[in-house]
Amino acid sequence: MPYSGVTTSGPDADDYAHATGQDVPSERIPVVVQAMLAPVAAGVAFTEDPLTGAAVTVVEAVPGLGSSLVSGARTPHRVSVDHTATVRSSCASAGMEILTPQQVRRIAGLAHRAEQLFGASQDVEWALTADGRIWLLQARPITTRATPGIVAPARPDTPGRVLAHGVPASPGTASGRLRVITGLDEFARFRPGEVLVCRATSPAWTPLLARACGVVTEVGGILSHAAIVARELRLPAVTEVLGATQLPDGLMVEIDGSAGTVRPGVRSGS
Amino acid sequence: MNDDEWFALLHALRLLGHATVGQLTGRLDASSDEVESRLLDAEATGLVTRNVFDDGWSLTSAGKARGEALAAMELDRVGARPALTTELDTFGPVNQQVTAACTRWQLTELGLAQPPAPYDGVLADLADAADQLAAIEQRLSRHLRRFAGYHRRFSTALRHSETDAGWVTGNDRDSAHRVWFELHEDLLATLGRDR
Repeated sequence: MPYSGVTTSGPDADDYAHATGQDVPSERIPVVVQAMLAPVAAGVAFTEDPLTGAAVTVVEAVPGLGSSLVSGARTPHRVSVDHTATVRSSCASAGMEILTPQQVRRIAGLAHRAEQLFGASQDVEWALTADGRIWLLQARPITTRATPGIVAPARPDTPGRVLAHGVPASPGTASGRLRVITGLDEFARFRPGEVLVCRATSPAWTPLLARACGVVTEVGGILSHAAIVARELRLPAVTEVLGATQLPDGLMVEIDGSAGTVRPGVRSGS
Repeated sequence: MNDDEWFALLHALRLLGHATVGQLTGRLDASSDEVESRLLDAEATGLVTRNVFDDGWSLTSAGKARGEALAAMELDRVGARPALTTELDTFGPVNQQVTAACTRWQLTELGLAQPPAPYDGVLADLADAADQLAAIEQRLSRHLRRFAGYHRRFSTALRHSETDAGWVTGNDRDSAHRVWFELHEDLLATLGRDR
């Protein structure tokens, strides 16, 4: 229920107004007060894929309160629901399900009702409480313009098993030896032309990326800093590969940053 | 070296990732002889190492840990841990806005974006992030003055971006993404977090 006895105050609001060149607001403003839920799972849902713009509903979930997801502090479990109500987990999320397919469909159904009500694609926040009820906490039009995903080029069926799957983050293919680097003190083990495998990259890793033929990370995604640096270097990248740092160090592989795969490769010279 | 000088050296290397004496001279406001001598001290105690691939320097794991310990002492001395933790949460959505804008533009340049992203839309999203950065920086530097400067550098990169798109995500200059990446690392390093 809106409560009207509040004025804007506090240094943060003043700072924000100054920093953005606006007048410091002085009038009284209404504030919405809502009961706090103690959810067993929470997250967001988009009535179109926010990355590719595809006509599927994407549901992202974390256990407990949704704040760690909204702030970007945790990688959510991500599933999509298509028009036939088929529920699919992203490769990186498989085996870590937080919601049942039925719960995913109910959340997707609520998001679609919001879309019909407001007449535009919606980005909703939801929470699931222990009694099985699903609450819609917020609905707003999808504001971030679709960031197109990397579309895998059509290619003939490649024989051979796939060592690892992940999110395609920088296009292209390359062959090289896998080199698993778990920290700063292992940088000396890396040789130019190898496929860098790590958890994530910070600025310290840029010299390795600049000399790698491809990169595989455990966390991140298409928007991660590692992905942005890899694309700048025109380097194939696959991110969100579960257990990437357990891949066999030294193995010759082919990395496909458009398909999001790592396959055993040909030994050089043979 | 006193604790402040150690921290300045280790933190500068953490943020730059790898740096030559010349780059560190600019950051530390010290002569190249002084920087070189501090680096040799730090090398002798195993906190920094010469780069494998070029004539630059970078941190060892021990140097990273020591830098984080000094950052934690500084943070607790000024009592800013709760404020910085809140600020990292605020940073999340803005970070997503910046990385999404950079990604849309890169995929457009690579010919993979369907539909291609209009460049003025990308710049508008980054300009909006710059406004939010101004407020974030003002709050951060009220606790720790060393956070001042990111907004100026980010805005400079955006100004150059109007005529040269290399300033959006280039690795070879103080591009918008590079400045942003460094601020993200600064927040994580100050709070002792990993990616």
